[in-house]
Amino acid sequence: MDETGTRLTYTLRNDIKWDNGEPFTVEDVVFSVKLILSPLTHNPQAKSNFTNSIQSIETFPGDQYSFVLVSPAPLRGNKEVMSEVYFVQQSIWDPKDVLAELKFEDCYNEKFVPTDRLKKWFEEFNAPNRSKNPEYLTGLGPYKLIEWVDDSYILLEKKKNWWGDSDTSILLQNNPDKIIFKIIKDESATYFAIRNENIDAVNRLGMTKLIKLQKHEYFNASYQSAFIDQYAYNYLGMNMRPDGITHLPFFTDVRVRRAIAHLVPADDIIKVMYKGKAGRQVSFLSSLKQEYAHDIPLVEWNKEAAERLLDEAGWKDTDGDNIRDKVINGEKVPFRFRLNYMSDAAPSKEICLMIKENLYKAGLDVIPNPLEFSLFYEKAFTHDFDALMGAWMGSALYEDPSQLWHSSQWSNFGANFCGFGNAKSDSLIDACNREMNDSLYVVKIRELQKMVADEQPYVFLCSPQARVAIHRRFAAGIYSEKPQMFVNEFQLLSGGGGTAIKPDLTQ
Amino acid sequence: MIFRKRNRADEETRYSFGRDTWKQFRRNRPAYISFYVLLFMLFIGMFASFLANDQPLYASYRGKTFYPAFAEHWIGKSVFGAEGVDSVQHPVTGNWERIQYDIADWRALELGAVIWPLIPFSSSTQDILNRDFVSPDDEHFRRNEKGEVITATGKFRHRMGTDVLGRDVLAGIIHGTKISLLVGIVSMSIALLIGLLLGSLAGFFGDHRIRLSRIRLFLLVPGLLLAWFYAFVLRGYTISDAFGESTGSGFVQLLLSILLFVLILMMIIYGGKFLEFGFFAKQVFLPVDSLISRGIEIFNSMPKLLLIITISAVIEERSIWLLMLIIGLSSWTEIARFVRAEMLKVRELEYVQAARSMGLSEWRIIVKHALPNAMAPVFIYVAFGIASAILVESGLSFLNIGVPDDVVTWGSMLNVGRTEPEAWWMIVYPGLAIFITVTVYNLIGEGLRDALDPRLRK
Amino acid sequence: MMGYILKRLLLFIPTLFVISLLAFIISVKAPGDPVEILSGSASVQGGSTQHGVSKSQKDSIRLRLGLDKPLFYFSMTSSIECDTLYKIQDKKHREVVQRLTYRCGDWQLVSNWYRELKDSYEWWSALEEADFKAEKDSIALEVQNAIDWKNTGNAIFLTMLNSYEPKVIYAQLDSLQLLAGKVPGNLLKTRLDNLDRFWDEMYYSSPGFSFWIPSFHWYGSDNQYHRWLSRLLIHGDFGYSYVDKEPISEKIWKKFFISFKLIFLSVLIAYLLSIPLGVHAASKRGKLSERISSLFVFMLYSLPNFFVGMILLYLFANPDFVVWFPESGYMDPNNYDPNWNFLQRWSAELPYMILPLITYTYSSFAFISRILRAGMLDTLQQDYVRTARAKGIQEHNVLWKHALRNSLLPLITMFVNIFPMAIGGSVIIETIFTYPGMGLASYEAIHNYDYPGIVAIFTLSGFLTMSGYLVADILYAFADPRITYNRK
Repeated sequence: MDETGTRLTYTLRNDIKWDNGEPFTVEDVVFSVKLILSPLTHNPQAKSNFTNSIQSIETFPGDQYSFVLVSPAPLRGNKEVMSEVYFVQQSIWDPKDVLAELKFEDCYNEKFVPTDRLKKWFEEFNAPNRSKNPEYLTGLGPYKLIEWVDDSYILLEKKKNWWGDSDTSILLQNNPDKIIFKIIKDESATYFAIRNENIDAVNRLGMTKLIKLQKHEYFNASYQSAFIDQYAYNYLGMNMRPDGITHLPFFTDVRVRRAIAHLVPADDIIKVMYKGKAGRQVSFLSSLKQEYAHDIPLVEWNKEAAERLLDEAGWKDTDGDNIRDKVINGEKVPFRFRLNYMSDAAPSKEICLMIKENLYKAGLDVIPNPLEFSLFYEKAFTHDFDALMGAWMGSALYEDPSQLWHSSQWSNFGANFCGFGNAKSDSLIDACNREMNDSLYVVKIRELQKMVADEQPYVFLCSPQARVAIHRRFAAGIYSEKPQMFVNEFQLLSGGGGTAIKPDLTQ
Repeated sequence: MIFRKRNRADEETRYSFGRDTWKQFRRNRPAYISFYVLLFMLFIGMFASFLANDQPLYASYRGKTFYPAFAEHWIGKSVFGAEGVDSVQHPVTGNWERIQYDIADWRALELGAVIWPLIPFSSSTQDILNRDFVSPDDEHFRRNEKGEVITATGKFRHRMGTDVLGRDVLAGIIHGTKISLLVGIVSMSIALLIGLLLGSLAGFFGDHRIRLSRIRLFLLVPGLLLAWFYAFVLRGYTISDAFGESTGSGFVQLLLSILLFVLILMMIIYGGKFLEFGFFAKQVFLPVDSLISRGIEIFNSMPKLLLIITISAVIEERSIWLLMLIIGLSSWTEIARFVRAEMLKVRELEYVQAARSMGLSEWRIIVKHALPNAMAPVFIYVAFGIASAILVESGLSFLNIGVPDDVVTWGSMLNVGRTEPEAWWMIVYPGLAIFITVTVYNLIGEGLRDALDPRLRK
Repeated sequence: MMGYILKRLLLFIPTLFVISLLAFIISVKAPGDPVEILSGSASVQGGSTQHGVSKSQKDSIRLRLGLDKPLFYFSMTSSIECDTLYKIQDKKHREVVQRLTYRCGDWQLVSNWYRELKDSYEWWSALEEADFKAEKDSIALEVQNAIDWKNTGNAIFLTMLNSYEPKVIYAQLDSLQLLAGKVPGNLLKTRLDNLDRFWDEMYYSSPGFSFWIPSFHWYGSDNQYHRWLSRLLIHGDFGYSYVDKEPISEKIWKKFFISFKLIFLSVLIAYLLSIPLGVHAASKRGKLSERISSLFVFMLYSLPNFFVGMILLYLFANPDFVVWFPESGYMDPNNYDPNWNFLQRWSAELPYMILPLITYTYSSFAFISRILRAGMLDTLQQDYVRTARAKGIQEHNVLWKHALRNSLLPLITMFVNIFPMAIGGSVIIETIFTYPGMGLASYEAIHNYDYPGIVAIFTLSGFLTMSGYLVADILYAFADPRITYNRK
């Protein structure tokens, strides 16, 4: 990386080969990045992750194995962006090099008019029949796709003569000969499958299921299993800036939001719904990270404090129906709001009912409003909610706080659902993003965490642990990072060599 | 029978027909028993909130009497004057204590005298001491007046266990009875209404009984469009806003629109009278029967269960009433078909012919004479229909579709049991409840069929 | 006979039309914007979220789906309404404009207001920090202020674009006024004045008599429904799934055969079991054994299948009891060979089928034997049976040869019903056993608002139901010579 922080030079290993023996070169990198950035690719969601950090790729003529990543600004995220690019083999997809007609500048030019040749190529590229076709899904990894049966399984087989075979690095291990990703969408079916030892590894087991399993002698004998912290948390978000008509200003007052935080029985939820296998946190960063602000105290369950805060904020029960009310714009409004959550996210319904019960005792009425996944987010993005319950999944990599907390992410209908932020917090976020010095960065991000905690746009419910079980036939490690295991390193301890393993991808 | 006012003249015959049927029905033991089981379930359903409630029926506290369980019911307000909130003065300190009925912890108060309901839990109470799937045989706990945790005995045990949040399963079953019966009765009433109307129109008028001038027939096309326009296009937002407000007002607006639709259509058709000349005045038949029969056939070809699932899944506002409406709207064809067939028979009967020759209007003949005759057998279909409506509803809530999340139904309890196979009481009890209810309705339907079918009589 | 078949085939057309229309209406009216689903949903998985899907990207999706076209062949609207309303692409915005038009009665005014609002928003969000500075003003400008203003302004404009309630608009106009006071120079003032003027013009006009006059627009064949229908009829193409963007026809056929195998087998077994039982019940009518077996059948019939399915699952695929059958799926990918012959394949799949099979079978078994019993009782009253008896034919022969043949007629209907059942009836059972057939697919399509999938499933099962009825009618005629379908 150079001093400006905007140019990163990469050098590729020169022994990496595609399936057909062709070497993996800079051309493939350029091709893949262009594919991601191209306005013609149907990947609106994937694209946006890269636009902040990639402006273009510069290559050195004559050198097939190094390139420079040029970023628009010196951001912390630049260092990691290349790790998220999925590489695609150019010679299979684009043998005639049509994409050479597309310049990097064009990707950022709103008025770009593609040539007919490009258009035609992209039309074919975007065609859906290719997305699960083994012929086109070639990769650099040690496995290749054999079969993909919808809703049933995905079969991978070890490649013969893979380029990385001679290497001993853990990242290049590839012990199993065959990997089958079994798709089981039902929680109890997964449970039975593991009880029957039909699957060898699972990373999405139900919370109570694993506890129950661990009580059994035979399960512990044949599986290694663990609850392990992960970079994820559940939250209850409140609309801080409602329009006042379709959604009433219940949560505009920070005292009300704090009162809700006092009323939400987070410890109880952890105890009942997660059987204690979840941690609490007060900020948007996982407490596993060193930059997590450990000095911010947890908001404890405290009904009296909450009632006091609500009284102060002017919400009182004046008509004896137990529901607090307040006169807003000359109209008496009862504190009755909808709590949106995703209908198929496992314990959301029960958590909502627990919150409802606790809030009702303090005179607030919650109407549970389960919504389907996409509708839930559509409403969240367009600020069409009173309060919502969701979850974020993070990673060990750098997480850009602007996505969740920058006020432009609210006004542009982004992921700052609640409307947190002002000029001060925005500038702090920008400062965090541009801060390359780690210790200074920690100070700044902690300040931001404090700011969020004080404003309380979210009630941070808990960070549930991941549940992993791996059959003892294999020697394998369990990790914090999603998906909590690294299938490639599985090593069969006993039994014949040809046995397949079946991690389970419960959706 | 009880379904209509009788005039004296046919009292005698009708009465004996009813009595005869009843006699036949009684002979069918299973059906006869089912009838009483049904009555019992109706009783449970009607008094669910007094049978299972976490607030006492009667309690005296510091010299005041309370009827908390009745407060939310109309009885509470009118008979006991309960308002849901009251204040009590402490005899020694003189402090006023506010008692909010529905959140007061009645078990923790030092009550003078108290009468608890049969099951002292309501379907939504979360019993903190007995959470996380307490089995019926486990030890149960409760807090006494002094706040100590003691082992619960007798009434205060959860006789059918609890779910993850500590909600009592038996209370849920009792509350679910109310919902299931309501679903069955309301949805089949809707189906009955539509089925009777269309079926009797088709059967009685047939293809060759309604004569219209050509102009009226022609006017039907723009008439339908216009009626649609005024009733549903212009009022579209009114209706959807009303549904957004509450299901009840939505229904009212929808009904208004339907009325408007019919009214406009009728006006236009009657308006055709003034254009009747020449070619247009020629009378043609309106093939009511063919139209309705084809309509039924088309409707029957639809994947109804899928339709119900889809509509209930895409409706944003989950509501049990809407579910009833949807089920009702999708199950009228059987009744309509049957009524049509019955009408075809009835209109050839001598007394209907006689009535017609006496100059009675067609409408009057249908309502006063033909329908009552066809009515009794229709109830066979109603009984079977209720059974399948209950099955559909519990299936939907089993899939967690369409039923609000804070309403406890049999199906939703089974859904919990599905993710928690070890909690057998979450599967067995609600499953049995559904099974018994459906069996009861089916047996009654079968009993009615046997009793009403003269060929099977002995 | 041919005439009758032809008539039935003709009835296919309106039926399919109604079904597809119904499905189409559901998919249009139901919540959720397909463009949002396609562009947004996947992005929120995980924390790395960005909703920065640009307008041009959304427009390209819209264009691809043909959502820029009118819905149907014609529309019937109030005469005050603009007939190109469908061109407004955002579902929510379309509603806002329509409601405003209904309120004020002149779409020209609404269009003035809306265009101004949209322009203002686009202009405002394109402003750079430097633009704020460029205005000569005494107030020292900080960059942070500019960002703040921009965000506030953006929010105000977006809220106004999405709302039709005068109260909201007035509140937003007020806050815009406030903002305009803060922003240096006259940047916002002129825009604000325009907006104020257009809003007032619109707000104070009211719909006159013309609101009540309907106007009829004919759009011709260039509409969404026609597009969908013609693709279906000409190419047999149901479009692409919103969820995984795969062609639906392919997906559905695959699933259909998985379910079909199961249901076909189940009905077959149900027949084999129920015929003897039905005959037995009819012959022993009134006897104790018959009454008990009838009651038993009746109770079976009333058992909810999801209950039975769950119990079976927890009894026979649960290590706490016995594990006789696998708990999910329809085959074991571990030892499955695509080159297997028919028999091998079946024997590999059979264990997976047994539990769902029982769940299917018991209810249809109960249903069939009930119908058969009733039919048999009916036939036994008939004269010819009595004659047969009187002639001294053995009771056994009377039952099995004479009575049964005629009682089988209603069962034909039952038999052809399996086609539609393959789709509709299996939702719950397949969900319980995670059997990846048609039912699970429809459940998921519905759950994910995969509208092309829903429409396809509807249409397909409607078609199959009708074909089933047709086949039943023809079989009827063959089985019973008394039935003719020619005019009475």
